[in-house]
Parts: sequence; C-alpha cells; structure tokens
Amino acid sequence: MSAAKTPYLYFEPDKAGRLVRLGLMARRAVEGFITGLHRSPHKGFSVEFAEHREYVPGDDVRTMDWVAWARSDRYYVKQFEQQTNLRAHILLDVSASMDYRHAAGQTKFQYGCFLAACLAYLLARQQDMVALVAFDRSVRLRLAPGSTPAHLDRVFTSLEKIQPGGATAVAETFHTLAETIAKRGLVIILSDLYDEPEGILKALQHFVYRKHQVILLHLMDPAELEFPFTQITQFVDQETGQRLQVDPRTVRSAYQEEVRSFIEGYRRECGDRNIEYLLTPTDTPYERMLLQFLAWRKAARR
Amino acid sequence: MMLGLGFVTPWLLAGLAAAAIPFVIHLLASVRAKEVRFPTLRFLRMSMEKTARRRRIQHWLLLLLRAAALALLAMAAAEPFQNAVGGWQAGQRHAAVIVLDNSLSMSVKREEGTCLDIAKRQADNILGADDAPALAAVAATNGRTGQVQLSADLEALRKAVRAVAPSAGRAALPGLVEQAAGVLAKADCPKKTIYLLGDVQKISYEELATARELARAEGVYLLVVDVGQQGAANAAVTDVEISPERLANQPVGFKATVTNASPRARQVRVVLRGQGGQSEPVTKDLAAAGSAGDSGTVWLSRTFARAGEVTGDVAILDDDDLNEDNARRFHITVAPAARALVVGGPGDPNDSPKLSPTWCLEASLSPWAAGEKAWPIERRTVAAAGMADNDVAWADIVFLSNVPALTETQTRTIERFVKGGGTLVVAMGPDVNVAAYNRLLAPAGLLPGELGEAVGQVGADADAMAVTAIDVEHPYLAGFYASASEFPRVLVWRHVPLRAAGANVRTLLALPGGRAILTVHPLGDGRVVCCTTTASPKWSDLAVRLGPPMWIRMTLSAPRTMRSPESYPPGETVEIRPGAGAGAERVSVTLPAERTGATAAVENATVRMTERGAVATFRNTTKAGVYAWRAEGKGSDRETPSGEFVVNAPGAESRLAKFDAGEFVAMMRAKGFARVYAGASVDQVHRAVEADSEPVPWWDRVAAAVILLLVGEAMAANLRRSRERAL
Repeated sequence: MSAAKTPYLYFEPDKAGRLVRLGLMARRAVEGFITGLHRSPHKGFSVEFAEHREYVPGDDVRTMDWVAWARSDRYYVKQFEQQTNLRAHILLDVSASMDYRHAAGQTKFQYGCFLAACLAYLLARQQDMVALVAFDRSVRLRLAPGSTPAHLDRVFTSLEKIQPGGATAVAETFHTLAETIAKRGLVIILSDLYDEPEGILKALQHFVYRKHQVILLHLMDPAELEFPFTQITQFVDQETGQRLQVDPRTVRSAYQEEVRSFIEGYRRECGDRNIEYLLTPTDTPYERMLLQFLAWRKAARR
Repeated sequence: MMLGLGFVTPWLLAGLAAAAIPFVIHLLASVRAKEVRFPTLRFLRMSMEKTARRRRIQHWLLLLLRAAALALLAMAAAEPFQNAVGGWQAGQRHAAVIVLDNSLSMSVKREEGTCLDIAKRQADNILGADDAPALAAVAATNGRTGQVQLSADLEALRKAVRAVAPSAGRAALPGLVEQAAGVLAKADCPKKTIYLLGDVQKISYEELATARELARAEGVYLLVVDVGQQGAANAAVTDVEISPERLANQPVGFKATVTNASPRARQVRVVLRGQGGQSEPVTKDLAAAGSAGDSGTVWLSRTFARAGEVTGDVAILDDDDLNEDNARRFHITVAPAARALVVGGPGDPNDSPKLSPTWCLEASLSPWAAGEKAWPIERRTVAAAGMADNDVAWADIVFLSNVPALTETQTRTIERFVKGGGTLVVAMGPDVNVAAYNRLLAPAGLLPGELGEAVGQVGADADAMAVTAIDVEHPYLAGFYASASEFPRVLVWRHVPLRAAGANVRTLLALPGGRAILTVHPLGDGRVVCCTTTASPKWSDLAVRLGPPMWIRMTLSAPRTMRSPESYPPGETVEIRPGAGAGAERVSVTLPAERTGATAAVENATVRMTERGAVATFRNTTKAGVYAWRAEGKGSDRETPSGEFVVNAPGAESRLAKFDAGEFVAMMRAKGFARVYAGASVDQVHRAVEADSEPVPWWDRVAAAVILLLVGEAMAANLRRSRERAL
C-alpha cells in the first residue's frame, strides 16, 4: 500500500489516521469554550450529574429535581458536569542541540516536528484547540490555539519554516509560557531538555501550578544514549561550539551512567509532580511511539 | 656481577626505536582526531572527570606495554644470548688462587705418583700455561699458609707449589676457600677463579657448602680438579685406646680399631711394636668398605719390662695404596709402680683387727707378702698424726681412712698434692670429726661438699640400705661386670651424708634417694674420691664386695706420669714441659723424618714460665709421626731434658669416601653455589665452564612470545570493536 500523498513535510495522514481512534484525552479537567470530549471545571447542564443546589429565583425550572422536592418539601435544582473542548499547547524545542542525528534517520528536531504535526492533527480532529510554540532561548514562533483545518495548515507550514539553531534556555522560556497561557489545558513539551535540570523542573512545576496537565516527551538520539563512538574523536558542542577530544572507549561506561542518571532524575521528579514523562528515542517510529503512548493513556484513564 | 647478556647482531638493536611507534601513533591519532558535532558535552565532561585517573593509568600502561613488546621484538631480532653463569670469557685478565689439598688422603698412590704429586703438577701447569693468571696465590689446606696474597711472580708461586708437603690431617677447606674468595673479590680482574686441586673426599668437601663467603663473592668461580681415585685399596688403624694402668711388668692393654676402606673385603695382620719388641700378629677379617663389618676391633696387650717413656705403634703389616695410615703411633710413660700412702685413724681397740680402718686397705693394696710375687703397687701406712710432707710427696695416691682430723698444715700439703695431679681418697669412719672436716677439707675442695652427722645404726638387728645406683661407665668401675645388674649388692648400715655436692661431683655409688656413697671430683690436675661410709666392713659391706678391686684400680691409674696424652691430632698445639729446674730457654723439635723424605727438619719453640712451670708451645704438627724435642739453654750442660710426642692422622680421613665430580657439583649447586665446576683435570674443568658460558639463544622464544602478545592484543581489539558495532 502506497503512502497517502501530503503537501506537508512533517504530516503523514496515513500514519496519523491510525491513531485517530485512540484520541488524546486530558486526564483532568480542562477549560474550553465549546462542548467537547473533555471534562470542564465549570458546572452546567449536561448529561453527567454533578450535585444538587437549592433553587433560587431565576433558575430554569426545568432543572428542578421534583423527586427531591417530594421527599424534602424543598426546592433543589440538579447541576450537571459540563464537558468541554481542550486547549493544547505543543512546545517544540528548536535549539541547536535538537539538530542532531548520529546515523541515518531523523534529527531530533525533525522527529519533534513529526510528533507535533501528528498531535496537532489528533487534537484538532477531536474538536480540541491546539497551539504551537517553538522555542530555543526564547519563543521563536507562537501560533494561537485553533482547531480549524486552516489552523492546522498554519501549524504544518510553520513547522516547515522553522530552522533549528541557537542555545537553549528551557527553564526561562517555560516560565514565560506558563505565565502567558491563560486557561488551564494540556501542555505537550518536545525537547531534549539540555539545560539545568533543576531549573527545568521548577519551570515544569510552574505549569502544574497553573493547573496545566503536562506531557513531557524527552527526545534523545540513540547515539546520545549509547555513545557508540570508537575512535579518538573531537566532539564539538552544537550549541556552544566548544571542543573536547575524547577516547570514547575509556569513558563510555561512565558516560552511559551519567545519561542514565540524567534520565532517571527526570523520570522520578516528573512522577512526583504528576507530569507524564516519556523517554523518546528517535530511532523508534514516531507513530508507533504515539500509538503505544496513547493506548497506555487510554488504559490508564479507565 | 655483569648480567652476561650479549647480542649476535647488535646493530639490529637499532630496531629498539620501534618502541617509539605506539607513542607516535598515539600522537598522530590525537592530531588527526575526527571532529564530530554533538548535542552537548555536559555528560562527556562529567564522565572524563570521573574516569580521569583510571584513564591516565590505562592509557600509559597500554602504551608502555606496546612499546615494550616492540622493544622486545627488536632485541629478539638482534639475537641476544646470556652466559648462563656470566663473567667467564676466554682471554680476560685472570686472577686465581690455587688451593692444594695436602690432607692425608692425598698421599694415596696412583700410577703417576701420589694424588698430591698429580695435584702439584696440575697447579704447575696452571701457572706455567700461556693463559696463566695475571695474578695468583698458592695455599695448602694443611700447614702454615698465612694470609692468601695475590702475586704476579708466577715463578715464585711455582716454587711454592713444589714445596707443598703432604700432611696427616683432614683438609680444612671452608675457611681457606672463603679467604681466597674474599681476596679475589677485591681483585681488579674480570675473571676470578679458585682452583681447588684435591681428591674430593666427602668428609672434607661437603663442608665447602658452609663457605657462604664464596657464594657471596661476586664473579668468583670455584673450579675443583679431582685428582683422587675411586676404589683405592686401603686399610688403616683408625683408633687406639690404651688402658690407663701403665706400669712396668704389668700388661698394658691396647684396643685398636682397624677399618677397611677398600671396595673388596680383606684380611689384615695387626701387631703392636714398642720398646724394641713386636707382638705376635693378630689377624682380622674386614668386610668391604661401606658394608657391615668393614671396621673391627683388635685387642693387643704388652708388658713393658722397664719403666720410662715408650714410643711405639699399632700397625697393619700389609701394604696398600695409602701406607701412611697403616700405623698408629703412641707415646706413653710406663711407671715403675704405683705408690699408695694409707693414712689410718685409731679405730676401736675392741673391734676385730679385720674391722680396722687400715687393715682392709692394706690387704687390698698389698695382697702378697713382701717378695712373694711381683706387684705393681708400693704401699706405706702412717698414722694421721705422723703424716709428713715427704710421705705425701712420695705417693701417687693418698688414702685417708677414718682419720679424725687433719692439721691445717697437713690440709695444705694434701691440697698441693691433689692440685699437682695426685689422687686423694677420703673414707669416713666412727672417729671422723665432721666439724673439722667441714672447716678445713671442704673449703679446700678436698671434699665434694659439706658433711652432715653420720646416720644409720650398726648392729645385727640394724636395718641396712642397698646401693641402687652404680655408675658403670666410670673407669673406676667399668669392666668389672657386664652390666649394672650383675654388680654385687652392696649394703650400707651407716654413712655420713653429703649436705650439698658441688657441680663437678660425679656420684659413682648411691643409696635410694641419691644419697652418695662414693663420689669423685677433679681438683687442679688431680682428683678427690670420697667414700661416705667406711673403707672397712665396719659400716658397710663395700669393703668385701667392691672395695679391693676398686682401690687397686684407683691406685694403678694414679701415677701422674701416665697421664700425658699418648698422641695428638694433626694441627693440635703441643705444650712441651722441659721442667722448671733445667733452665731451658727454648726447645728444639725434630719433625718426623720419614714424612719429609729428607733430613729431618728442626724447629725451635721458645720456653715461657707459667703458673704450672716452664712451657714451650709447638704448633707445626701437620705431619704424622714421632716428634723429638730437646731443651736448650743455660742449664743444658747440667741436664738436658728431652722427650717425644706423636701425631696421628684422624681415623675418619682413612675411609677414603669421595664424591665424583658430578655428584660434588650437584651438591654445591643444591646449596646455592652457582659458579662451581669440577673435573678430572684443569682442561676438563675449563671446558665445562666454557660450555656453560656459551651463548644461550633465547631470541626465538622471545620473538614467539612477543608475536603471541601482539596477536592476542589485536584479537582483543577486534572483539571489542565487534561488540561496539553490535551496540
């Protein structure tokens, strides 16, 4: 079967289509402005009973609970939980470190773009509003939330225009974003997290404090995890340009230990903060990664 | 010591520069390191900090190992060799000490002469050869050698070799070889050798293993030239014991030990010669050397008609390869008679005469009526009060029997007598004043210790104690009976207990509990016998059981003249006593002529005065035989004291048990002496050393090891890369 034709660089409809039935649901209440799939923090009129409230003049008499009146001789109105649509912000790290791939395949940036496009499509398709933010040391691109096909088009084409580069200032950028995203919603972060972990974790806590649900997809190239180099090599930092000559065989195990400790630190700290953390090696096809992730979330939600 | 490492093709050592290759590769690899962009150096920096120390060590260790492997390969290509023992190279400047073994066994006759003659010829060859040592010394194992000193005058040394005479002793090797090694170690020559020319007798040569200085001496070789002969035919008189009673007209016993050192059994005829006569030969069959019965005892006896000094020998009449040990000489003094002075106490007039304290002694010492039979003991009896200095001076032995007490003067006289070599027998009795004895005799050493009051009752109903401890080894009791159990039972009713005996007191008879009945202890040159009971049957039945033969034996062995040594071992210092009254200033000693084979050599020894009289010390006793001495000086015209003494070879040297060369070298190597070689001639030993010093090629083994190492490292590297690729 041939792949479906697409005018976009980072959107593959056939792969996204396989994920549609799983959907991306918020795990807790989010604020929206239309009725959707997600629980809203506001009580209104819906099919899902929430609580009784004493009648006050002006209330719609259709909401009065006559059974309660018959039992208690007092007037109550029934309140139902509102279901709303979701505002999702996809935060894509476009710093220079994301422009890395060791072997053939995608750079972390390209992988992140694919993920961002696919997620945007999934969210829009379920009437959720999706916003795109690209950042390095500052916000380089910000698309306001939207769910229309035209908005999706803007998202896809914007991704194509972004070129990775520049140093990372993850923590600072996240704090700014946390302050500027008004309504509580879903924040999906696609980054390699190459900044001070302490600062990043504080910034993530900031999102949580603002009642956002945070999903952190930690993008890592397999070479960053395994360090498969064998010859004496001069490594050049992609962000700072600094150089370091290393005989990889002598430091490999120590390097792997450091990376493992780095990842475990995030996994643990995110768990403590109710942030969903997922290590995402770029050699795993993104649609498979999303398929597994969404299936797992769906099962966990039940 | 040099390592002895050389190279067949030393120019190939230039390849050692290859050791630099790993370093060059390392530097080039650093310069040409591939540049790789990487998202962050954060983890790399942290890893490098953590592994910095380990990386440095591994890094340099690997580099050094690789460099060492290449250096070894280069050395292997240069074909190195190692002299197994190092230092021995032909044509090098050479210092040598030639040690000639002139012990008794070197007199064994071979076809070419005695072993010593052959050794001397070999030594002469060493000094006269084209490649003779630049510096040398000659020393003999026996005799006056003085300090070993290296000399370049080889002709003088050759004369010294010719002058080396055979001796009678064992080869004294360790000291001499250590001294030689010490001298050579300091010599400024690359090649240092001790040539030991001898017959490699086990008894002497195994002592070389104790010469640790030789092992420590740097670069000194010990080359042993074995001039001995395996299987030499030899029988020897290896020991002669002479009975202590040596009196005129009394049989004197000789117990000779004869030993067969020959590989075959043989019969020997042994005779005793002396005072112009010779005994009938006694035939003895001896088994082959090393088997049971290769040694036997021959008993000989001779009665000397005249008193005086007698020089003689016990000899095997049959010739063999080593005649020098066929006779064992002796020099003894035969006394005319033993003179006993009996000093008796009063006794009890009511007693039977046979209980008199003097009667029993008189009956024992003079069993025959005057003139009835020749008897070797002359006896005088005096009362204690009448004992004069002359009486004591006349006697060889003094018996104090039940003497109540001695005056102080008498005590001093007796003390002088004992210290001068006399024998004192003190027997207790009812009249003995214990307090007086303790006051005078005990402090002078004339008693074994202080005495207590007499204990025990005498009478028909009284209880007696039996003597239970008998020292059957002591000459006074030895030989009476075959064993202690066969001795007659001696009962004691009463005795004077010894409170405390001195350390040198030997108890010959004792009651249960160690209570001494008969003791003996030395005092000066003489001895004191103490009988704590009576010499008569008054207090015990000792007088009728053991007394008579015991008193006779004490008396016969008492004469002081009999106690001079009958012979000396080679090398022993002899003290000659020319007599104080002779006015001798020196003593001339004539060496045994038969050994030198020429006119007897004469040496002088200076006389010096000591507490014990005039003494001349003579040390040159290396030769076996009879040495005659004569005092010379101011008083020589009045009286010329003279005498003889004899030197005998040690019996063990006659056994002729020798190492063969290989056995000796193996023994020395096992003890840690690496540079020891042995052979039948100088040439043979030289060849052995040179063969051992030939280059030992080991380059092929090294090359194989290095190649294996390099291949191993390459395989390990490949394996590592494969794993990394799999990752």
